Order: sequence, then C-alpha cells, then structure tokens
Amino acid sequence: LAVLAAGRQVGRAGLIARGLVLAAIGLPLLIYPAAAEETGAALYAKAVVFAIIGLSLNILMGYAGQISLGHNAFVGVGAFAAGYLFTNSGVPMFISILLAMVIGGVTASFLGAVALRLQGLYLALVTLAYGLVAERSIFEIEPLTGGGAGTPLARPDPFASDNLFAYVCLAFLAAVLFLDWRMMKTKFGRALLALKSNEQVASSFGMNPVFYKLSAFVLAGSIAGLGGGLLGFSQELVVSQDFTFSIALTYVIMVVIGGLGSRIGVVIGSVFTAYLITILEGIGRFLDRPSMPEILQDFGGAMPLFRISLTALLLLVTITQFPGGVAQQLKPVITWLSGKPFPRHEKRHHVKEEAFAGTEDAQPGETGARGERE
Amino acid sequence: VGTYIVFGLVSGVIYGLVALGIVLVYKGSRVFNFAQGEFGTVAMYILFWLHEMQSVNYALAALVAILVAVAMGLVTERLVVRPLSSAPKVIALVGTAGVALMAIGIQFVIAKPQPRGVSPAFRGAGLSLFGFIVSKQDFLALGMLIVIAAGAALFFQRTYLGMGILANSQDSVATRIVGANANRISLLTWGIAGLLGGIAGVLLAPNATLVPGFMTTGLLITAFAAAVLGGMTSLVGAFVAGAMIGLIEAIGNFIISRNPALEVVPDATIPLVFVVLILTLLVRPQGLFGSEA
Repeated sequence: LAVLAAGRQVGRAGLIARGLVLAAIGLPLLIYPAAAEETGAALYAKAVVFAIIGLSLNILMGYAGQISLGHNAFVGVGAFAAGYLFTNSGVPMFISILLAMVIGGVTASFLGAVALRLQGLYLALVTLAYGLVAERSIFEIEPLTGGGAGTPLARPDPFASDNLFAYVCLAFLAAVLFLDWRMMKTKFGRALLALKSNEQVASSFGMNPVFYKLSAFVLAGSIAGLGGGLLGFSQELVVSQDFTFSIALTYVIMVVIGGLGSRIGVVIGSVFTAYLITILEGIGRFLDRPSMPEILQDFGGAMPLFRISLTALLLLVTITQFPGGVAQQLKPVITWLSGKPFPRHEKRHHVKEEAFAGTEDAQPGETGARGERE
Repeated sequence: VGTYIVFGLVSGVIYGLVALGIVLVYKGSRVFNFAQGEFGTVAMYILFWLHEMQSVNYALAALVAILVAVAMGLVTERLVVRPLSSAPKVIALVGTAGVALMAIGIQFVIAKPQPRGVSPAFRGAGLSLFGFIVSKQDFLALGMLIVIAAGAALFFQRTYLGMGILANSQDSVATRIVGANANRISLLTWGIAGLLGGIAGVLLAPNATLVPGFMTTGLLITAFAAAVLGGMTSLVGAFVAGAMIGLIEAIGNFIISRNPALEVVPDATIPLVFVVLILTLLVRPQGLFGSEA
C-alpha cells in the first residue's frame, strides 16, 4: 500500500483511511474460505473461477473490442480436457489444469485464425457456432466425456477439502489479475487499446491488427481453459449441461454488468453472477416445498428456468441503459483508493459513449476526448 | 440415396427461409440477428397452443402465430435495436442474442421443457416428386419460399420502401437528410424479419419436435451458415445456399448411416455444417453471391 501511495499527494491520515477501507474489504474475503463451511467455500471457489472466466472474456470484449459467444465451449473444453487427463490418463492435478489452459489456447488460435481476418461480427458467429457444436456434439462423445453421466474428477488428498481448494483458485485468480495488469502496461496492451479505438490509425502506425486480435483471442481462450480446469476440479464432476448457450451469455453478461475493460468491475460482476445463480436456485428450492402454497411451489420449481430470462433481461437492461456497468458507478471509490483525491464534481458526460467509445466502429471524436481525461 | 436427397432439399428450404430473414436484417441494419430463430419458435408455440390446445382453426391459429412473431420483431427493434443504434454492431448483436435467450427462458417457464408436436396443415397422402413421396406440408414450404424470395427481391429493387431500407443500411445519416424516416425504416425491417421467422416457424412446426429454443439450437447456426455461404447480402444466395446445406447434410447423414463407427459423434450434422461455415470463411468469405447492398 505504501508503495501504491508513493509519489502521490496523500497525507498520513489519508493513507491510514485508505488502508483501513482496503483491509475492511479485503481481510474478510481472504479469511472467509478458511472459516466457512465446505459448501460456503465451494461456492466461494466457484465465484473465484467465474471471476477468472470473466477476466478472460474481458481481454476480448474490454480490451480487443471483439466478442466470444462460445465461451461455454472454451471453458467446457478446459474442464473436459482436465477431466480426461486426470481421470483417464492419470496426469497430476496441477499439470492437468495447465494442460487445459494450453488446449483452450490452441482451439482459440484455430477459430481466431479463421474468423479474425473478417470483421468482428464473424468472430461472434464462429464462436457461437463452435459453442453449439460443442454443446450438442463434442461434449456428448461418450469415450471422451462420459456422455450424459459426465467425467468425475476426485481431487487428490491435500486438496480434497473445499476450503483449501478455494485458496488454490484464489491464487490462480491473483496470478491472472497480475498478468492482466502487467500486460496492459506493455506495448502489447497499449496496441490492443489503440486498435480498439481506431483500427485504421493504429495500423497506419505499424500495428498488425490480425496479429494483436489473434493474440488476445488465444490469451482469452487459454485463460478460459484454465477457468474450465479449475471449475471441473472445484465441482469434482464435469457434465455437458454445465456448458450450454445460456451459460455463454451468462459469461458475457457478467463482464458487461461489471463494466467492459475494468478489471475490478469484471471481478465484481462475475462474483455477483455466480452468487446470484446459486441464490436464485436456493429461493427456488425454498419455494418448491410441500408446505408452500401450490402457486409458489410451481414458481419455485420453474426458478432454474426462470433464471435464464432474468439473466437475459439483466443483460438487455445493462447494455441499453447502463453500458458502463458496475465499474462506472464505483469509479470515484476506486479512484480514491488508488491514492487520488475523491472526485467530488465529476463532470457529467455521455455515459453511453464513454463505455462504448472505441469498440470496433465508434467515432474517432469520442475516443479522443476519453484519452485525455485519465 | 434418393430419399436422403429429397429430405435434404426439403429441410434446406426451411434453412433458406430462416437465412432469408437473417440476410434481410443484415441488409437493412448491418446487424447479425441471433433472435431470428426464436421468432420462429415463438410462432410454433402460439400455433401449438391455439390449434392443439384451444382447437382454433388451423389457418387462423397460423395467422395469429405469424402476427405474434411480427410483434416480437417490432418490440425487439423498439426496445433493443434502436437504443443500441449508436453502439458498436457487436453490442447490438449481443442484444439480439439476449432477446433469443429471454424468449427461450420464457418458453421454458410457460410451456415447460417437455417436447410437443403440431399436426400438419394438410392431412392425407403426400404427392410424388421425381418418384419420391413428399408431404403436402413440404410442398407448401417450398412454394412459400419461392414466393417470398421473389417478393423480397422485387421489394428491394422496385419499391421506394425497399430501396429506403437499403439506403438506410449504407448511410443512415444521408438517408435522413434526404427525408426518409430512419426509425420507421428500421421498424419495418424488423417487422419483416419477424414475419419471415414466423412463417418459417409455422411451416416447420409439423415436422418438428417442439422444445424451448428449438429454432436457435437446432436451426440458427445452419441458417447462418447458409446466409454466409450465400454471401450475407444476397436473397437468392440465401435460398440457394440453404438448399445446398440441406443437401450436404443429407449426404452426410447417408454416409453416417453406412458407417456405424461414425455414430459415436451425436448430432454429427452440426459439426458438418460448422466445417462448411469455416471453409466458406476461409476460402470465399464474400460467399457465393455476395456483393455490397
């Protein structure tokens, strides 16, 4: 923290205040998996894995201005690959997880090489098609995935506890966050953002759009594969029903809710989505009991299905009304925590334009203004 | 092989019809409409509910079903597409996918997941085509597609409204400057998309096992492959490519039926269509009949 504040105009009191707030938010989050019951820790691990998946999609949507509607397939390929390697071939757990990451990257490089030479819509189409092919065909191939019964992955001994595995997931999330943060400080990260703002200008400065977009897509695929491997081990069972079209859009929505391009926003959006799914299922189970009135029982029974519409509605409302997502709302707080004064009189500006500025076909004028502000 | 080919052509006709809707929206607003399939599924469910459960006359039920699909297209335009008109096309595309998912979710809640069936528009024996028996329902689908494709081609080339839609897709600002109402044109485009989706749904219903999201999981990608193969902007292309993909599927099914070893892959025609899509994008991304406008 002291390092963070160094070189910025923050007094001792300000430093302490920021430290207290960070500790008040961070410590409970760090301690929780150790203190919680197994189910609580398992849910925590799932939320952390969702955050990793969200960050992988954010590289694509937030930085590169592309979209994947088939992330269910990338995550699923990672999960099934880890399952096959671990259970059928006896590969150790951590190596299976890393290989899942490699396999996710390889499939992404293949699809990206085909689709990224064309405009962004085609990547959306090809990934959606890949997602459906995976859902309907690939994940149902019995010798590879165990068909409807799925692939079991029993975690080896020290990690059999959900509490400990939650920390494993947390460590991977920290690694991904660190990688993401450092990447955006390099030439590569800046080139991605430049291409997103204005592809023609960026390529006239010598940046190869296909190379950078493809690299971003491969990176997103690898991290999704990693998320899949972790998801498989955290649930200890991989079934194809976990990787449907609706979950692909759930991944998109958690990134959009969080705020495209914002690391913290995406983590918050993903964690929120993971918990929301579980809470809605819990409400469904609570209502669907014999002691409840019949109409509430019916409603409770339909809750897992009702969730699909609710996710879609949340997505539509966010993109049409609040395109900046959670990150937009939290911006003053995050600015303050990072050691700058609290922005009291933030100038009102067109939120919609800012959030979308520079994605694929925005007007050059919008992006210019945005670059100066930070 | 013959039976497979006739079946392939008949399913190709439906792909063509859905692809036609996709192409229309793309011509009119440069958006990939991932909700096109659900316009059809919703129409199917309305037809099922009115005809099979409320025993409404078939023609009336079909008409109401198509009108509901049109209304769905209009609502989609007003609530999702128009607010996103200044956003990137990729975001608008996510919006249409959101509409599809929302429709699927509502179908799940109202209609429940169990599969359902709709009886055909005409009963009785089928007619003979090149020595193969084709049901009257399939003839109806084939006839409708030809009429619609010809009508759409005339509409875009001969009427002010059709040319207005094309002009709006190329340069919305300039279209407004010359006095056309861009909002109304956009609304019209999506209404027509709903109409085509609804017709496809009603025609396909008797041949389908109706489950929520049926046209999205079962047909949308195939229709998109047809639209891309046909060139994304060509009405004739969508029609021809739809039939071609139906044939490719039929040949694939025939080969699978001869090689039981291939049956280890479930729904093997879907990966086959995916390969066609990838090859098209690799070899000829502008499609067979692609051109601007």
